[in-house]
Amino acid sequence: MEAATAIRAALLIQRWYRQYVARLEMRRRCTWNIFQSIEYAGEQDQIKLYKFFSYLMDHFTPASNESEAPLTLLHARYVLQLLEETWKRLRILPNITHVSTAHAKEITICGDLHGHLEDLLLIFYKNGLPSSERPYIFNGDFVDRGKNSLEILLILFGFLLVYPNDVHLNRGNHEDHMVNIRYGFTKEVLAKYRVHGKRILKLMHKIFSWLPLATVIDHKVLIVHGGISDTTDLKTIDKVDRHKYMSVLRPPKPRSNRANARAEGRRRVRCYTYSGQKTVQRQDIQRRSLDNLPTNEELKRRHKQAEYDQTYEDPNSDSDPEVTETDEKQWKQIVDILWSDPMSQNGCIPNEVRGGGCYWGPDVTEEVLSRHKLHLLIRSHECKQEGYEFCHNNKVLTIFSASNYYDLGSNRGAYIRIGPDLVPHFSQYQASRTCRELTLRQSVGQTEKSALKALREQLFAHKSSLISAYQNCDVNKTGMRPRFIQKWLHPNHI
Amino acid sequence: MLNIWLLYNKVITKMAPHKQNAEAMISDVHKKIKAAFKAFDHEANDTVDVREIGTIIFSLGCFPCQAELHDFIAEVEEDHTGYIHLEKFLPAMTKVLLEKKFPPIPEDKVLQAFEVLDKENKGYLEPEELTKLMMQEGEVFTQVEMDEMLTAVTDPKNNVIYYKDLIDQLTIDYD
Repeated sequence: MEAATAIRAALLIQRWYRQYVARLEMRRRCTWNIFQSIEYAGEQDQIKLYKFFSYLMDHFTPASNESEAPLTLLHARYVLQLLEETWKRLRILPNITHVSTAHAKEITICGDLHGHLEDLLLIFYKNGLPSSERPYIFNGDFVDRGKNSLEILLILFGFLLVYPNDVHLNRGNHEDHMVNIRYGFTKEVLAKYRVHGKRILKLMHKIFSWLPLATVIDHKVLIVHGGISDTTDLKTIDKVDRHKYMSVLRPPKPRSNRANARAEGRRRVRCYTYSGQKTVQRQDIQRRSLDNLPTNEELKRRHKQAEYDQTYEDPNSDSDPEVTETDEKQWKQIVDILWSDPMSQNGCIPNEVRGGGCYWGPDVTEEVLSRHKLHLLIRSHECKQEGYEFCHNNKVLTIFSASNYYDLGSNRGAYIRIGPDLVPHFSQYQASRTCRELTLRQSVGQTEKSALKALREQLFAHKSSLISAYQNCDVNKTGMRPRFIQKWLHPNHI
Repeated sequence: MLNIWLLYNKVITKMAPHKQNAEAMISDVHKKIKAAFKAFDHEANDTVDVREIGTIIFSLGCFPCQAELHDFIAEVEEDHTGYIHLEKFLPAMTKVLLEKKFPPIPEDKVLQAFEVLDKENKGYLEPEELTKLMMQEGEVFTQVEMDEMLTAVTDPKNNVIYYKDLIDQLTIDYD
């Protein structure tokens, strides 16, 4: 009797306990599956991403895209979502990003891309996609001129969100809503997104104002888009409210004055010319009314000053408010780092060609770098034939990543890899199969033809102004003009 | 005519929820079975190793004994290939669940079983006592199973098994 009871008890306990063990095993199995799925999904994503970029490269390089096949666009909804997340990420970043070569050894630095998607894809193909093991710094001017500014931004922002500690973006002078109106980005967005373009643009420009202004590697290498001036001070730059400057073409507007400005019926345009002195003097600020015809002086200045000044003719501009001195100091710091160019002579003078920022000499490089205990300045902003160029005793390095910038065959693009030894290593490329086949003479000839054509078009467009200018110079009314101008002004010449 | 129509409608609406209920219930059961099955379907080809079937069945809330388990496996296994296909498992398991073939053991029965062992009514068991029973009577435990059980149920301080607490713990665990 006891034996039977014992057996029954045993059976029961065994059955009961085995069920418990099985349930535990099921839970362990499911947990394992979760980890494994996450691991494989991550790898899957990597493979999918790689396949996606391969597809893009096969279908969107210049040679393949000649037929202008209709692009399938990312739906506006997802664009806005991506932008929203990007803004949220950017606004918590400081003005100056500090990165170290300790973790990932080598950092890749790219210069101006200007909407050249094929160049970005080529860089990714040659150098690998951004990741924790492959950090990137993109040094501004992602947009304008090229026709895929939007795609470049979406790709860069995507990587920024996926690898927030390994992808760094610096603001360029083209990340500026007033520059975009003139140089193509605004048009591109409105053309690609007819319904939601305006909304996308608004968010874009908010994002541009939140882009960090500089990156420093190992406290030794400074990376900014344009350059420096004799007054550049990183401590000041660190403190500015960078998002106040949606456009750096003019200083920030204190809110209180907006109401007054609108009350003034008449529209006026302000021109701020950088005077190169420590404080902006009032007499340098010129008032320009759109009603008056330009004088000779005006004409000269306008032709000299390219992007900076001409983008100023914004009909929606409000009148100039009261600007505090601190605001102007800060603003000057920002304009300098986004617009300046190096020159070979010593000193620091206003950048008349650009109309903003300055030209700075080797002595300024020396002073600013040593003051901040830096060893090297990496900047972009200027197109270079070989994609990169040293100057100022190899203390300043220009890196430019948009190949064939002026025309097919005009220049190579380049990117830098830099490791803990802080020695830059270069890679050059040119994004087009055909131009590699041209001889040097042919490619120079080709680019030359394009440049001349562009010049002719400009001359013809300003024909009447040119003629009246010559007439003004022709005091004796001889009717003489240089022969080549005569020829070029002839409509048949285009 | 209208009356008959109204009556017919009433009958239909009364029946329909039930019918829906039955369908919904079976659909529910199918989902549960598939989910449990999938956890062990490593190649995602709707097959599992026969050695995992026990775990799957237990995890669905069933309490078969080993003999019953063997019988079930014999029905659904693919000719001794060592694999079981979802196609066969699903209908067989659905039947088991709907008919409640292997119902859970009530807590008090488990308690009684332990009390049979605890002749002196100590309120606990020595590991040796449990081991003797588990490995000698009934559908005996293997050494591995026994060692695992002892590790799980023995109180580390006093090296005894407080079976009342154990039953509470293991039962609360059950979904």
